[in-house]
Amino acid sequence: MPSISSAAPSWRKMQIPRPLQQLFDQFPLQTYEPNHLPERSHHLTSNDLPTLYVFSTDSDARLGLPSFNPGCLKWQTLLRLANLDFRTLPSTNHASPTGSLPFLLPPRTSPTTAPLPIPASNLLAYAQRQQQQQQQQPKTNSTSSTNLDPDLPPRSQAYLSLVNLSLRNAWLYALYLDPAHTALLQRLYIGPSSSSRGVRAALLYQLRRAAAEQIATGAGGKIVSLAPVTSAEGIDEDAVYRLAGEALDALASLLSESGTGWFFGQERPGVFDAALFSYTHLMMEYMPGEGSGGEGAGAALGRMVRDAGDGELARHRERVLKTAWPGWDGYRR
Amino acid sequence: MVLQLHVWGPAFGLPSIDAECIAAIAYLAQTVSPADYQLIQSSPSAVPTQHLPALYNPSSSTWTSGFSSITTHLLAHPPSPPQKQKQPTTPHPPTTTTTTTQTADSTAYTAFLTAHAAPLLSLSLYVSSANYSTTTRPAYSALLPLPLPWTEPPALRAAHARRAAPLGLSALDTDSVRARERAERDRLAAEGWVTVPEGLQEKKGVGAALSAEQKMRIRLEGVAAGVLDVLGEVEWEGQGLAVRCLAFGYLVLMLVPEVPRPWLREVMEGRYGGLCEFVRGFRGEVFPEGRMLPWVEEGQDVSAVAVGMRFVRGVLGEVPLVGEYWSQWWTARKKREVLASRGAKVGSSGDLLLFLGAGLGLTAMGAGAFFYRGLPPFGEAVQVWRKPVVSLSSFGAAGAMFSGALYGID
Amino acid sequence: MTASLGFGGSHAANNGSATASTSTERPSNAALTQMLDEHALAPASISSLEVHGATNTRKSLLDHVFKPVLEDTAPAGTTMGQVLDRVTAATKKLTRFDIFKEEGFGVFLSEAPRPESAPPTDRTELDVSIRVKEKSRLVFSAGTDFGNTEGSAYTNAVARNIFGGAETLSVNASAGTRTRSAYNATLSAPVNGNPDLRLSAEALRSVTQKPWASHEEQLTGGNLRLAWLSENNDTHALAYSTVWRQLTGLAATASPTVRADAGDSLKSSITHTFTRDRRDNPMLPQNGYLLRSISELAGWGPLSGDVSFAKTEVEASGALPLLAKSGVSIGGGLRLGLLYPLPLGYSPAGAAQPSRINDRFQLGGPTDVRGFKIGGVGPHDGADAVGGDVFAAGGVNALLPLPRTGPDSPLRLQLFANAGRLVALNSKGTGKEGRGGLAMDSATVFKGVTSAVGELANGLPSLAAGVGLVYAHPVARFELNFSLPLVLRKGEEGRKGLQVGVGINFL
Repeated sequence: MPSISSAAPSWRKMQIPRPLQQLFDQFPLQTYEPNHLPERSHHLTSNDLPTLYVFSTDSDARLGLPSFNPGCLKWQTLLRLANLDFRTLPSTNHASPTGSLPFLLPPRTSPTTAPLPIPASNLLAYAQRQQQQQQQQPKTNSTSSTNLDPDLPPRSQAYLSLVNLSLRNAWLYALYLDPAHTALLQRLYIGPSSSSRGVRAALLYQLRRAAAEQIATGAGGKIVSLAPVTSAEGIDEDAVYRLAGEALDALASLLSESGTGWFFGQERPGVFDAALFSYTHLMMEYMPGEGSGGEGAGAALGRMVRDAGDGELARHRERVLKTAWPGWDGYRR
Repeated sequence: MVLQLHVWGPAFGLPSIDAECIAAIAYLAQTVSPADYQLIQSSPSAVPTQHLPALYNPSSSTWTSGFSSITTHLLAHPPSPPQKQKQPTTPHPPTTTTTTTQTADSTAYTAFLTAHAAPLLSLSLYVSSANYSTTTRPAYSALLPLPLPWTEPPALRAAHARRAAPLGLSALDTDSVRARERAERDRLAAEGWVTVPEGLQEKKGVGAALSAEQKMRIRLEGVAAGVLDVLGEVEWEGQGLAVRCLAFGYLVLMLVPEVPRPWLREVMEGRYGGLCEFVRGFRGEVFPEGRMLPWVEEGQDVSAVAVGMRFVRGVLGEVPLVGEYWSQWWTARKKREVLASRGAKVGSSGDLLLFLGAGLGLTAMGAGAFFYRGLPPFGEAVQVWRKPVVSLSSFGAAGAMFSGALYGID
Repeated sequence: MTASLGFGGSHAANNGSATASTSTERPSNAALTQMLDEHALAPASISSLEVHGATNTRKSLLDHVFKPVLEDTAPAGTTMGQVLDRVTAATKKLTRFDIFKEEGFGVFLSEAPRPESAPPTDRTELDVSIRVKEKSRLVFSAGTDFGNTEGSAYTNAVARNIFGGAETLSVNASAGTRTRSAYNATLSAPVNGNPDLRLSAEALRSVTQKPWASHEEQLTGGNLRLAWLSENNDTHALAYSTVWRQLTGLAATASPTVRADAGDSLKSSITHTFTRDRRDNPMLPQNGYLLRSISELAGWGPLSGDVSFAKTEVEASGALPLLAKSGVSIGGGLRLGLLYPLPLGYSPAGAAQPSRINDRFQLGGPTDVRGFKIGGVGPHDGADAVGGDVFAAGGVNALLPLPRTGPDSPLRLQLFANAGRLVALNSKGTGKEGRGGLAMDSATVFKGVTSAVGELANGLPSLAAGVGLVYAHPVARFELNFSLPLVLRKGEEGRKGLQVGVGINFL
């Protein structure tokens, strides 16, 4: 039975007289070992690796396979490229301190203390710190790992916005708002949340609203009222896909200009490669657009990636996969 | 046929108050002869695309909205023969002979401007309470026929605030910050917590005297630098026409409007001379003093009713609960109009069904309420129960005797 | 929230003011007693019964109350006493519909005019006339509330007697110290004209902060509930409920356990609640006992949903007065609870998922195990009370009147000692050891539960003792206690010193 408790704050500030303090210090008279944690948390804590919370399925997460969420996949890929040890755990946005996945939870230092989570915005700094620590230890293997802090030209920012704006909008539209992918959306995001039809319908509605709002806001869309646009109707579908196509072409031409196979002439894949890979991989994996011509543009995001720059981006995706998930082909299919 | 470009009207001495509209005007001014296009002062509620700039092409009778969609459309449907020779002010005709790198860069910078310059501009002109109330809102009031200034600018401001939200500087909106503080104080008072009366509160120091912008100056400069550093590196003269127009549209609005909190202009003038130079050069070239743009007035008689309708729609959109569904329905309707104009196959709207359903539902509710109100009282002033008819006493004397006997036994 | 209705019926029947035509007038209790003594054994029956003022109440509803009265009093041999008892019982029953004003009752008896043809009998034929006042059919109210374990402000609209059959629709919105917002609407109606058997349907939505486990819980759902009062005044309720629970708004410091349980789940369950309250005063029991049990079955068989378990909780408490009329009493209470994970759906031997944080028990706090913070007893992950699957808690207390206040004063001095143990089920030592995901087969579950129950008795329970002041307000009980924890487990949060408790249901 919960109830209103706790003394008024002013009492707490009051200095406790010394004799009373000494008396208090006598208690409790006996202290036992801590209680065991429940089964669900026991399952979580039997590991001393940092945990990256991502959108994933149970089995994929156990094997550390790529997440099906671009934001999560980007960081998952980057941490793998940086050769950092971590494990993944399937989760939901509700679990995150920022309201969206991914985030990283460092390992526990003692059974009764909970570590502070590291949100996605601080993950790069975390990875850099970890990398430095690893490099200071002499015993680490000498495999060259990604330079996490390369000097990229300012126009990389412009190209990054192609990924974060154009590709993201296209992915959001295709997955959430295009009815052709309702089944996929259900399987990836809604099914794992609940088995109840009512809850699923409510979640589907909420997700679609949020996606439409995101796209409309980012692209400066229609303004009908004070409230944001909340349905696919408010979005110019053709423009979204056209911009995605242009973005892919531009990125492909940037990549072929680089010459090393990684963006901006880097020797190793880095943040930019991970960001692009997180979209191209998912588009090719989940929206291959093979054979089915009549499914509309939404179904063909994968094809758009394959066609961009004569397969330049598709080959880039293969390279990232080989580097970050060396045994990828063995995992699935 | 004459292209019709619907845009937000002019303000701050610029051809439009909106960045994408300025870009679209600049683009048309350089690629199409003034005889072949018209500029129509409008607002999103007046066009079927519900977004400005919007281009109506009478030859294909299609609507296109948004700057990049318009440029794409114009490349695909070139307007009547470009009379370049007669136009000394069009030194950069749209050419397709650019290199792939240049195309890629244009695409990237277009995305960058949309993704980063737009929120920065929103922060300066819309989120910042001081700038909005002294500069932006009056400008809109001058543009919009009454009573539209009551509905549209607040909706615009809300939309721009959403755009700028990821920058995390919503505290510039001192109106809402103050409203939140007041609500918090009221809540505490309502819960019975003793709060220090305002008069006794610690005298606010220097911090209180500073405006929100001054307090956040460092963060604002950081945000602005994040965007302008990238744009400042660009050789704009070598870029495609479209992206130059778009960059001009955003940058000129950062530089020109007279705002009470000119942090953005100060940052630009202080550190990004190249960008200012570009903006001035472009302006002088494309919109020199005295250049007449082909503005067209819409018929006044039509607009009186139309404006009324637009206002009513704006108000409807703000009705709690219903408003959202209403605007969704309206958006869908308008979208079908636009799609139909492009010749796309459009499924039946289902409006009839919707109206029928809504009408039936309302009628049923009304009838139900009326019926319930009209019901006679369920009970009565006096309700009577009588002894069951068959009882011993009704058998007369014998019954009475019998009853008495029973009583006796009892 | 539930200001208890007095038994207006009995008073009302006795105090009913008389009109000129009444032959049986009872102005006071003394007169009534005398009257009853004189006439109680005289034969009587009811000739007719009139209800005045029930303008919006269906006759079909009142039929259930008054027809039996006429039928039962019709046989010869019915005495005046029996008639009066029946009429009183019927008016009491009326008040329990909660559609008539307490003070509005008036009962008038008069001798029925005898038909001329009828032969004289010594049996009195009575005309009974009952006057009632209907309560307003639409009531809005707002106020503050010390109802369920927290303070809150509410607004409430009640539509009574909507279709004349004592149907009630109540719509409620509240916000409080812990419940950030709550909305619910309840439609209830008596079944078969019986005020002691009510069927109700409720829809609810709420957001509640759970600071002891660093999260907020948002509930959206509904339930269908049948509640009845048995012959011997025990209350039972059988409810089917389905709730969409969303664990969200986690604090930055939330533990991995809470993070793992964040998100959505649907609970579909049947709950039976039994209460036998024989205490003289629920806020300050000096005499009597309370038995309560709550049994819940969720997710099993056709119930489906996302969680599946059987959960039961029993409580027994009692108090004994010492030194009659002095206001001194001793009391004690015991609560036990067990959650048993079941496989979802129909497979009896299928794998069961371990319990979630919002299904597990929490223990500790000023209303159950005093001297601990809320949720202070049991497994903790970091600062979060993550709850357990098995618990036992008990306490003893002595209530003493304060000097210079009598036994009738609502103030008491309290000495107490209470203890509790909350244990979580886990597969340690069952041979499973976290292999192959979370699911546990039935043998593992059984072993886990058995070992958790065994763990209850491992060592002394977590224990605290102290003294305090109790103030029993009719709406809630307030306590101010000074306590010290005597036995603790690491991680458990005891509270040394002062602790304030407000609630309606104390152990």
